[in-house]
Amino acid sequence: MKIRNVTTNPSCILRLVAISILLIFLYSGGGGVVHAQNLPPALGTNSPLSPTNKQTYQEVAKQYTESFNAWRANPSDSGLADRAKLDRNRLIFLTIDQIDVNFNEYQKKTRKWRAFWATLLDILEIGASTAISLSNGERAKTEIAEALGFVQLSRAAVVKNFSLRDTQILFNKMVAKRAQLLSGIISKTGQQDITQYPFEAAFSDLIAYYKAGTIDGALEHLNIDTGAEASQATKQLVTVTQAQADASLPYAQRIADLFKKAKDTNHPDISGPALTKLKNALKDNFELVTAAVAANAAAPAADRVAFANPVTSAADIDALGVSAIDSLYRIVGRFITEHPDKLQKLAEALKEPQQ
Amino acid sequence: MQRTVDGNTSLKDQENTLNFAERVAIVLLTSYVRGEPAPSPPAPTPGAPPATTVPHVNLATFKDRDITVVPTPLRLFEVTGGLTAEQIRQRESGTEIVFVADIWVLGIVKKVVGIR
Repeated sequence: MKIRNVTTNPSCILRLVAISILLIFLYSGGGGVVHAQNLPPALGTNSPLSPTNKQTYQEVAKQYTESFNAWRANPSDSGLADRAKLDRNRLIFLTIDQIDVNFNEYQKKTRKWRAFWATLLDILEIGASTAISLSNGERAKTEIAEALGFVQLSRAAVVKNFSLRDTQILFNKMVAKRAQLLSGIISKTGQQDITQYPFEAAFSDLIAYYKAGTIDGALEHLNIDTGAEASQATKQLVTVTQAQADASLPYAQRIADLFKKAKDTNHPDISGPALTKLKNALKDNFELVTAAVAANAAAPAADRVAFANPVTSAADIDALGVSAIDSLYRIVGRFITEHPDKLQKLAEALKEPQQ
Repeated sequence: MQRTVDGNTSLKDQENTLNFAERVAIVLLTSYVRGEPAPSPPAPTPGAPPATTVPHVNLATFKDRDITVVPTPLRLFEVTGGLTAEQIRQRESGTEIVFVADIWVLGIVKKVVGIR
């Protein structure tokens, strides 16, 4: 009788590993080792006044309908209006309670599923690695290594497509968004009467509150809030008047002309006076220059114009070369986009003197 | 350099603001897109002033340019009346299309072409 050598037969090894994993799973109850709290009796579906009790919800809905209709028949009766508002609020809070209970259950199940899947894949990887160590034959080792590679690639695909790594980030977004929406709903229940905030209007807020606790809702808010935060973090150009826009063109043409001359190293008799003119205009607007340099230094690195020279006095400006003066005009220009009223004085300083 | 532009202003105001930035900050516009509106402000507490309108912003991206070369003025047009951006460029005798995008104009999304 031919006896198979288990340590060289890859199919035997894999079978042993698979059986071990299955036994571990069965023992642990299919991954449900992580216990979570059960619902307290007050929240049970058969408990009186429980938000998850269908009959309770139906009774409150009926009371709201009756009090709303009674108020509609006598809209000037403030007592009926208060009663309708009270019943509306009861219905709203009952719905909120149901959504909260659902969300907590969803959170619990998702956590257990993540832990289960991570544990399963860990065990498969460990099992396959151990099988490689135990086996003797070259072919056995190769085939088990291929199987291990499959498990690892599958793990990466599951993590990527089911957003396992990002799930906690999404849950954090859910919790934050739910709290924000709940705050708005509670505020309206206190401040707005039945005409301003009927239950139908509250229901659309409640739908948004429910959606905020879903993966799709969290992804949507993550994108929106990220985009908004990026927009808010970026500086805003001050809206200019037509006159300011018109004035900017001769200014740009003037500094273009001066820098063309200032950078013409072949003609120092032209470049020298042009550079001096550019420097003098900055010295005449020294407060603007220092404010602009300070703002540039405080800006995020990606938004900064490279400029390492100190500017604490007019002499510092005189000491700068044409390249540094170029940078300084860019820095001042960026500052002026937030303070467009500062352009006029700088433009005046650059003008040719009247003959 | 990236800057936002108030999307609650008119197309002409936005055109003026972008041209001003190009000339004064020594840059050239490379793209102009719609930013997402900021989240709505929370419900006001009793006695507090009413919440301001939701700001709309457009995001402008610029690149540094040669300080000795002043760019041709940028002009913004709404893409409407069945015309394409290219047809508008030809109609307005523009030499290049800088961007075509859905942006905020007076708080409403409009398809706009920027040409020079």
